Amino acid sequence: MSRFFQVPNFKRDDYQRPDQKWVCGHACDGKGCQFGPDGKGKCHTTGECRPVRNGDRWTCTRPDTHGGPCASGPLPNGQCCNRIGPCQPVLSLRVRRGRWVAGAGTLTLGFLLVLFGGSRRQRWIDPGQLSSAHALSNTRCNDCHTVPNGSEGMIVGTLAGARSPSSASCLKCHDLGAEPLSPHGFSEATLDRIHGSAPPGAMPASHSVVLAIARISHPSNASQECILCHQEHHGRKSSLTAFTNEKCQVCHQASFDSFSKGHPQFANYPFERRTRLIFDHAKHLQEHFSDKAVSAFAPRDCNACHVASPNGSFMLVRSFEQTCAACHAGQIEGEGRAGDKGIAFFRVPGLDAATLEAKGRPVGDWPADADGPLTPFMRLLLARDADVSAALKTLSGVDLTDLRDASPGRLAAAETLAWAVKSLFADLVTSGQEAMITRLGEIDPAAARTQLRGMTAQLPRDGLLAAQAAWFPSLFTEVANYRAGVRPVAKAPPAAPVANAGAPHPAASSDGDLLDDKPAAPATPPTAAPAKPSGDDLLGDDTADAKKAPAPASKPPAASPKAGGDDLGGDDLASAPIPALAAPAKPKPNVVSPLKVDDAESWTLAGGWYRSSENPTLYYRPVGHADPFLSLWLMAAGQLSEGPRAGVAQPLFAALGDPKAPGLCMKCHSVDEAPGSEARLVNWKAESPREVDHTITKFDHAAHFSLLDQKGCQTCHQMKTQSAYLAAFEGNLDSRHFESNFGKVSKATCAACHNDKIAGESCLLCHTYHTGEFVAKASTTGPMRPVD
Amino acid sequence: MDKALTNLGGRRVFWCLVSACAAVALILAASVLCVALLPAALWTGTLLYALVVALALFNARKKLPFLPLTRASTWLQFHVYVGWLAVLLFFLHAGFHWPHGRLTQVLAVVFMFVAISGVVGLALTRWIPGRLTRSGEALTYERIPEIRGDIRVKVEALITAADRESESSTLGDFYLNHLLEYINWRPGILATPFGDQPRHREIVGTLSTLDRYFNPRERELAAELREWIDAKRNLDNQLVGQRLLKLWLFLHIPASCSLILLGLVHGLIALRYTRGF
Repeated sequence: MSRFFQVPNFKRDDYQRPDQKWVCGHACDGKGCQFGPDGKGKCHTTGECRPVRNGDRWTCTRPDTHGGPCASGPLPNGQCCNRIGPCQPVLSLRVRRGRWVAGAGTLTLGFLLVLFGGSRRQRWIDPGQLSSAHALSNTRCNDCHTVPNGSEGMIVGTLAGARSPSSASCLKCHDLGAEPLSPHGFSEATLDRIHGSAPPGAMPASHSVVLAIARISHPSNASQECILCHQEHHGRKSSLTAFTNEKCQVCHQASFDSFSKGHPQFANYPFERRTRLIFDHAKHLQEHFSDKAVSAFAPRDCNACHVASPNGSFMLVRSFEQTCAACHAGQIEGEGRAGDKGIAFFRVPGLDAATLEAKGRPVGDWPADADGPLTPFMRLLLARDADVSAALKTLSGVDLTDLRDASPGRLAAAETLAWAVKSLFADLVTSGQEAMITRLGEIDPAAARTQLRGMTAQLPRDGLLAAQAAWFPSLFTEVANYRAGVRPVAKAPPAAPVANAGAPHPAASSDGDLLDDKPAAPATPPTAAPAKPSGDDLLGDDTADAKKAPAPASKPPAASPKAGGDDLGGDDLASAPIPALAAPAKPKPNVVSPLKVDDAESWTLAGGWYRSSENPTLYYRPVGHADPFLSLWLMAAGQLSEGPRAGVAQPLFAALGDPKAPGLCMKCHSVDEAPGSEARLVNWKAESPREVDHTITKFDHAAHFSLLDQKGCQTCHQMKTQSAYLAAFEGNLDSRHFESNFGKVSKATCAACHNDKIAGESCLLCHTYHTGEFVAKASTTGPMRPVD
Repeated sequence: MDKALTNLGGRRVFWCLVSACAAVALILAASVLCVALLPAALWTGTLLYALVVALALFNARKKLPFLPLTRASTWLQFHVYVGWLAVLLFFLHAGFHWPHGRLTQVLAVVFMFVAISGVVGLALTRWIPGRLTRSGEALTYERIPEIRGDIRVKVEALITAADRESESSTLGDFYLNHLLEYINWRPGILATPFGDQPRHREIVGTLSTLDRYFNPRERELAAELREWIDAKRNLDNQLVGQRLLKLWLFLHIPASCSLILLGLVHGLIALRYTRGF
């Protein structure tokens, strides 16, 4: 039999009100009173009922739920006869729960107040440690978060105002180029150009509804804030560059599933331009290295000429000495060369000086064997003078060696040119390298001082003095007079020039010595040789004598050097010592041939300056690969090919840039035309990565070496045996039009490993987001010296 | 459809389907925001906080029974399923990793506590009522002390009758030595509901042991006494079960209050420092 306690009976049962705040204390014992506590939790109960006065009698009011009216009834004083002791009311369950809620809320608020009012507020606000790269900023929120003025340190300030990190904060430390927030750092024009140009071969993605919706909601060309991709406060070891492929494809029009499925075929990877060094791999391997004469130098494998860059990302070309020198070093130095081994730097041009003099335009001494035109170097050095430039223009197409029928204007131009040549030469002789640097600096103000100094190639003083003595014995007097406005007089009888030549530095003349700071000062010979107060120059004097006067009868022909000497230092050897060697007055029948001086070109085997024996020309012979004289002049001429000096710079560049010119520079070093300019850029170095360059595609060569089989590098770079590689360079200054020795890399080669099952196919494996030319920002070191 | 929704099973299927669709939509939306480089944390966080506030309104709804705000059972269904969605949204918001900041960790702990207490409460509300019904008479929680008093009165009347009618003190001694303490005993806060009650078994065992000493009249009264002892066991079961159904809210609701406050502060800080990214 079951016992039931809750048979509904409203008369017998109390009505429960669990929502009341207080509960009778006796109720816990099952003896709750009918009244219960008041709203403040006070018990006012004294008996089981509160009798009611009915006339002069008190009536019991105990309800049926508590047993009904009692038999004995109330006391005479109106009190209940069944007394109940006061209880201690208790809170109802609901109210107690409410108090828990209020307590939890209060605790939470207190907790928050303590946090934000205390000194450790920052620690609690901090949403997490920064990555290790930014760890120092963990306690310096202001590094990234902008702080409203006056709110720091206040609770209100913490909750008000914006302190969101801005990209400008990032860019304080990270230089990302000119367009740091633009997608990939591209300019707006570039973005417009590539927008909508899906590369061929891309297969549309088939899988992602998310991507489809995301692409609708994402503006592809909009600036991207740094924090869109680089999420901080995820711990020391968190990656700031973690990125999913889907995120890349939000912007990219050519959407595809993955690299192995749908990525476009490589257009012409890795070739974006022609090689900087002209090297026909196919021809060398198939033809040149088959020659037994050089087969010993043939490389065994690609590593003979190429080496991975320190970070393994790029295959560099080894140095010239390690690669080409074995076969080509001698060629550069002029070995086996048929023509001049040096390049003409200064030449006394052929000039009909006699006609000029006859027509009242004397130009003083002019070598009789002068022949040939001005060198391009001279044209450039003379270009600073407008009169000379005008004269050159006037004399364009005129044969300077025959001016008999020339118009007065051309005669005047020829005279101007002649004096300009002499003046240039005088400057070079008297001031040497400084004069050359000064002139070059005026022509190319943008050139660096080191470049200008290098372009002099240590022009030798003694050599120039010797040349002056041979070509223009009276140069200093004549130029000084010319500059002073004094025309030279007609040539004196034969003795006069000799006398004049014997006094190349007329101390007594009012012109003074060009080498002297004070023109009117007492005579000082250019060589400052005190032993020869007459002003004789050891070099010039002898040379003049050798040229003007017949050789001594006693001088054996064999010992006589070529007239005027053929070597910049040769006068010393040719003029002075040889007579001494030929001193014996009575040569014996079987006389031993005297020592013979090599011709200047052969003498200058290791390169340097020398003077021609055939005409008054000063040559420079390359000293070897990477000759600074040639390379610096080529660079200068290339740069000046755009601008006001283009008229003289371009012929110079053409002369030096001839692949067959001495030095053979352009045989291997390609020339590019500067974008939007006629300036020429010589590619002196093979392509090598610069730290500042951040390209959109990257490849780690070193990481793949261990994966290669017998095919080695040709696994990816397959050589094309039939290629118009060299032909593509001829007359072509556009580096983007080329023929490669190698076929493009096939995507299938990469996809064999780079798929979701083997090596992964994340976009960021091969691509870089931030592209452009930028470097890490330099430190801001304070003054190196103490500040007063 | 209407008919299907009127029974409990149909309603659950309906709410489950709606919740599943909402969950898929949430996952899709969060993925889109993330892929599209939009401030996913801002949107998921805002929605999460809105859901938490909406869930908390269920408690407010119970305090306002006079307002026509649909039935409480509908609110409970809403509370349950939206609660599950809030848990999902929490993980989407946190990026499925444990937060690194102190405040966010506290917030996550509180959220998890609320969520887990809610799940436990849900389990209790699904499990206990049925057991209580099967255990015996369903009692109003607030009446239990009174009923305990009633049982004591009835048992005392029975013992008095036994003394008078059987002229034996066996039952009286049993009452004084064992039964009175058992009737006054209340299960502790950690008492397991519906488990084996050793005290009840002990009392019943003692009464059975005394059976050989009872005369026929005492045996009749002992049988009646046994029914009161069983009634006391049901009373204890009802107390423990219903107390559990009420006490879990002592954890769930206060924690929810803390969660709302902490969430508000977290939201303000996040908006101020990160613009939601």
